[in-house]
Amino acid sequence: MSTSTRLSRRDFLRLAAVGAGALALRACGVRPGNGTPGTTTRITLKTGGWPIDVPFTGEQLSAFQKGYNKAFQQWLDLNPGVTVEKIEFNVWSADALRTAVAGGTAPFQYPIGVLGGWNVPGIQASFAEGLFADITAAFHNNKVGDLLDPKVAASTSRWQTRDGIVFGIPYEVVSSEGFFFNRAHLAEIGMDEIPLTWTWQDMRELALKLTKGERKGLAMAAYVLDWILPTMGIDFDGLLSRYPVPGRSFNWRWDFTTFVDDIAEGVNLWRTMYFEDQSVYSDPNFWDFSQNGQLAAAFYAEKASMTPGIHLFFSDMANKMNKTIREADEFMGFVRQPLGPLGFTYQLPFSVSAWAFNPDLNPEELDKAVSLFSYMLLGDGFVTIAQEIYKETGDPSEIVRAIRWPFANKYSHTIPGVPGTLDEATGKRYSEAINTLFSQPKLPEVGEYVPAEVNRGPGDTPWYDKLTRWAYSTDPFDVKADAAELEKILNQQAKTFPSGVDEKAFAEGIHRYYQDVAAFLQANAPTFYEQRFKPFYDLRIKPEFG
Amino acid sequence: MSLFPAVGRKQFRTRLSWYTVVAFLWLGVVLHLLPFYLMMVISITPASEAMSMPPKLWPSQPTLAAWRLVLNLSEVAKSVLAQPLSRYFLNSLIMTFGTMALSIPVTSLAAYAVSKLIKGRAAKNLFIFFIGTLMLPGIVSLIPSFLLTRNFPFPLPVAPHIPGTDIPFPTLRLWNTYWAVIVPAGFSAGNFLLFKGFFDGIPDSIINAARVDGGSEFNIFRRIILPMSIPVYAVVAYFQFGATWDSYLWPLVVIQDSKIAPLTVAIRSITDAFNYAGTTNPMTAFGASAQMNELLRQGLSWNGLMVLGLLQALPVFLFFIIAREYLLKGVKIQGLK
Amino acid sequence: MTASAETLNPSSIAPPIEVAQRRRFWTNWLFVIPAMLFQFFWGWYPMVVAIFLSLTNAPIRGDLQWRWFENYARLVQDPLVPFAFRVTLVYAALSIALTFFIPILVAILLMEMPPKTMRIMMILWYLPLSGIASTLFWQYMYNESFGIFQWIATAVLGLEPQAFLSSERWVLFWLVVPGILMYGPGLYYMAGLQSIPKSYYEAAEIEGAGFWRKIWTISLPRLRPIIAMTLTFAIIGSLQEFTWMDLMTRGGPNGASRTVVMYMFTLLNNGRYGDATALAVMLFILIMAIVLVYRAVFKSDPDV
Repeated sequence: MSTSTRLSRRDFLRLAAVGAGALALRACGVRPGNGTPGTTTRITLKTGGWPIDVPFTGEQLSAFQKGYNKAFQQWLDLNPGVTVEKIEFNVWSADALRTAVAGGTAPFQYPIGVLGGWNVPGIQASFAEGLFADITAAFHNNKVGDLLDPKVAASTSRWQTRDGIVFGIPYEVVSSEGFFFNRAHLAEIGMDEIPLTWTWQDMRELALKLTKGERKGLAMAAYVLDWILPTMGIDFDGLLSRYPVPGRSFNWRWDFTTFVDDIAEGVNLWRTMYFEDQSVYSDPNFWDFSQNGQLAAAFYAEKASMTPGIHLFFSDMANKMNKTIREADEFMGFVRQPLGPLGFTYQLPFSVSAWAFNPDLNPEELDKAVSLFSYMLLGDGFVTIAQEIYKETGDPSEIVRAIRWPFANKYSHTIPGVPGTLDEATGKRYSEAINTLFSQPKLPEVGEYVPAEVNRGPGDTPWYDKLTRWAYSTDPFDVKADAAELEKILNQQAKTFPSGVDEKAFAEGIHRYYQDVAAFLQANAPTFYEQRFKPFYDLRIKPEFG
Repeated sequence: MSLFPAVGRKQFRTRLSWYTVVAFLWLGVVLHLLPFYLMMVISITPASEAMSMPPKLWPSQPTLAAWRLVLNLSEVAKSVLAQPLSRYFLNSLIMTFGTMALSIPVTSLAAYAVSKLIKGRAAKNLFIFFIGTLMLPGIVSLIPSFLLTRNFPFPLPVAPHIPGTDIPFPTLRLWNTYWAVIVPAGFSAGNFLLFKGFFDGIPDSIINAARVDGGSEFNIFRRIILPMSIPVYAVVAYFQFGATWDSYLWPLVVIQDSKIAPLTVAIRSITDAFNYAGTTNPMTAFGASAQMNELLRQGLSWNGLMVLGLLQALPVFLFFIIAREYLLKGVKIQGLK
Repeated sequence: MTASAETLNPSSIAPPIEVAQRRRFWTNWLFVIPAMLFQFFWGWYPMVVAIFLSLTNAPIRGDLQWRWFENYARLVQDPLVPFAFRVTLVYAALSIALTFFIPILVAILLMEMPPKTMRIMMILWYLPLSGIASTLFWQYMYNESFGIFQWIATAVLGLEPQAFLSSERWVLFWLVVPGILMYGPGLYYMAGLQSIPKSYYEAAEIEGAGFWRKIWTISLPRLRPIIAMTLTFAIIGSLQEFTWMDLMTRGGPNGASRTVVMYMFTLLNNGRYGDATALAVMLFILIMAIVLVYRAVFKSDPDV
């Protein structure tokens, strides 16, 4: 159609009728082969633009961009024959990514959680389905393990299988969820920091004290009960609300009735804060968890003294408020979620966010892809970028403003060529809080003990259904009846999923898992262990798994 | 002016009901305009107060900073927008007009035939054949459709080999060309419904009279039906323009070359990165906001998103105005009778 | 009818009737063949592939395995599925009852305005609305603390604070309300109204017909085929509604606004492509049944 200048209406109809045929002249072709082995092949890696991008162009490059360009060129010089091409693609759209992976058109790197549902079983199942490339060889060949922070390297549930097959590269460290708090407001009531061991009851009192006229003590989103109840061991995959049942169907069953009084207590606590104390700025339609939403806006405007977040938002929030890192440290602090009434927290001190690679790449391409990714984000390229930022600005805190701290690599504290420590650059109070948080003991993760299930089993939808009702409903409801119903729905769904996991391996893993959990709780949450875990263990685990 | 009596307009009751109608219509207008107003206001609000609740009716310090930022986005933030905005704009225009040029004739002729030419059981079956696809949520056929653009006519990632040889079947690849957007939209079931409804309303007697005069079916359509149907063509063209102009997921999966990518893909990827950051799950929020940090550093915020939204909506407004003129032509036809 | 037109054909060089009929038959089909090709290859073909996938494990990559009706069996046993179907049906019924008829009236009234006013009002009424802005706007309207609706309920009407979107009983109603204004095809009615000759109304007026009577006896009957089509469209669209709830309530509270398509997306995001496809096919069957029944009941010909 491009060749004909003007089409009469009749021509057009004819063309439309044979449209597909006419196109054949232009677009006929089959998929090209992947290069011939043995020769120096030219490799092209396609990226959606994040985090590996093509060099930045333009007149006013930021210090980060200049550093990025330099590091990128260094890598290209080391790897002749490789080109990186930018494509128009949104890796955050699950629909688009799923489609592209199905048809072999995905970019070489994408976030592991988008297809994996952002949870460990989903990520492991996605790998089993072949949605991520097996990069074990490339990972070891490029010695990526040596680049990682030891704590990150040890936290493998989101990027390795239980047997050590690698399918992702850790990229950033995500702290436990918690709250940013306004330091000035805290000072008004004579407090300096919030202790790590605070409980939800403390939270209630604190929020009440911080509420002053129009200003609310806490800005909180509709997922609030999903933060409170898990600290009592009650969650969709909670310690006390789910138990293993090996067999031909899905390996887990739910129990929300045994500890239903705890649920009622948690629900009650929140409803008192929201409806009676009126110390919370919230709405059932607030779902944001970020530096961009309405909750954060209230926090910036100092209309709320606390807002939910994770530590990584610190840099983003500083950028958003147009503050330097030091000013941000003056303005706000961060503390993880409160503990449950019996001193339990389900939270890991941190978790790892990883990126996966396109399973259609051949081994040679994968090797280069992994090399590029780890070079730029973890290794020498990373150092170059940081050094350039320092050279340009003369201020190490600008590194933290551009790349969110702490890093997944081993440069979180010192970077060669940058004087001082990054902890200082980040702000003393904030970095201390984060370092303390990260060194907290870690609750064992079941994914590291039992083989991954290909069938992901029931989704968490019914769980969230009940949470929204309990948190905001103004119509009367009965927690006991709801909990029983929730349990029934999930167990009925679970029966319909076949299990592909070896029963023996499962039972063996489960045994070790609960032993380790018991040991952890005895050391870190003894009251919870005695009053909740032990009864649960005797009821559900001991008879079957000893 | 057909419903209110031609005489007695000054009577109190008539006047009262007349003003009631006018007031009702203006109320609707105001409610329709509020979201636009809100969008305009946010776009000129300083970033720091852009997302405050409740929204302000007028910013304390109006600023055009967001407009300036967005219009130069491809220069200040090449990593965010690979091509100049005008390039995406042009691509969107090509795809939109290409789709309209293909789909409107194809669809309307079929609708006319099913409405007026083909009768009986064949017409009924055709009707179901043409609208049946509307009834399955489109998302489930996304992957097969996408695979078709890769290796037409095989809905497979790789074309199968011709049996007994090593040669793969020859296939047609529309993927990553403008055609991948235009050709699959060649027939629109929704527009078929709109056209058929309108053609159903045209009395058969008009067509029969023309047949008596010896016109070929196509000439009857062109000389008699088409002029009568200008309003519905204007409406459908407008709907089709809006739908194609705003389509996002399909172009996102079938086009990867930024030189031919449409405006929605460029804009929605930015706004989505922003919106995904507002999710329940900290891991999701965190992941998406990794990209956000870059946008934030460039100064993009809600005000900038509103500018992008307005830019995206602008051509649809313009096309609406054009379509409206054709729609109003129908009024003149009405006057002639 | 065609035959009688042929016999009346006065042209002496007219071909024998059978030949003319045969030719007419082929020209008729020429009108539809291009559309059939497109609809076959880009409409039905991928859809049938998808339906076929609902009988398999529907892997995104890897080996295809037959599951026959396993996916369907799993859905039938899932308590959330019948619940989602109920929500969908209630929403569709509410949405058609509350939003379908007002735009017809508005279009009729707009045609009454003096030409200049009409030109302006038409632009403003039917201005295309952007997704982000309208979502922000309605979230603001519905906000329980400072939204305009709450203000109307408490300050103007003196009621207790209302729950709006967080009320399980009323959430579907409140989700439908914005559609009363924002529902689209008003323009299409205007196109239809314009094809009604003015003389019809003049004749009616001479016979003493008033405002409502003219609407009832002239405007609506002439619009009937058009309404038949928009109603088909509205039925299909409302049974597949998803975006709106997703933005406003995420299916809550307690699943009270989770439609079938919304649950389908949940399944997709849980990596259950086969189940999602099976659910879509179940919805397809329901919609098809409703549309067929509706078409049998509602005849669209105005001359009958």
